[in-house]
Amino acid sequence: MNASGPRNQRRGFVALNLASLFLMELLYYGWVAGGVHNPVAVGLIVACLVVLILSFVHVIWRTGLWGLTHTGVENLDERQVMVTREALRHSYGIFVPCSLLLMFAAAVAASYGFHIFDAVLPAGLLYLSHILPATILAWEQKTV
Amino acid sequence: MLEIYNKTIANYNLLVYSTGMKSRKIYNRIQVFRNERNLSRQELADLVGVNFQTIGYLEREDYNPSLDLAFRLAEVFGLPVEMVFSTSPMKPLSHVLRDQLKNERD
Repeated sequence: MNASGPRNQRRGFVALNLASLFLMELLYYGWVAGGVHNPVAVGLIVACLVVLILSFVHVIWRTGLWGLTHTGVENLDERQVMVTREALRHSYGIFVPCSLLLMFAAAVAASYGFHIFDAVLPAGLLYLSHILPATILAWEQKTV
Repeated sequence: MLEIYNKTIANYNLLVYSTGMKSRKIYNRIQVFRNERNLSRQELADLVGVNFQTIGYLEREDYNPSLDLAFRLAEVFGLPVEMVFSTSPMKPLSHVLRDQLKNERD
């Protein structure tokens, strides 16, 4: 049983999901937050959002990985407890330095007069914090 | 009490896994015995109280079970645990029987 296809396909969707999130933030802060409100910029951001949602549904929601990483330990067996804890450990190691680096970059940008710390960056980080364990499992596990 | 014990076992497995302590590969005959008894992975998983994917991981020998799970599986098959699990590659059962018959003749 392999709800999301082979591992390489799953990895492709994980990469697509993270890339669309990154690109969306980049486009927002590059164009929209900079005062450029042309239809191309908005269209590209909407396209990224659609890709983000579709890849999330395909590789994280439909595979049950979201449920696996968001359920209580009493609902998991011993292997699931082990792999989810390991995924959470790796997620913490990735997420915390990334967040702090972004906050540092935002603080440096603010000192130069670019106040970029609005709701979009924390929203992206909130999404990332929730999907990282599931993406690690989608990337590493032979079957999901 | 049993639940706490099981979680402790799982935590021990996690410790072994996350500390990088080299654990030996555990070989098994789960797939053979499951097929003999016409059980699906889901049915066997329900009998021992794990997810059906964990049975797949065990059959492919990608996951070493806890001692508790190993005993539960052996109990479901009605066999001693050493018939189901081993730390060395397991001979096919036909070879084991052949050797046993040879020993009885000699």
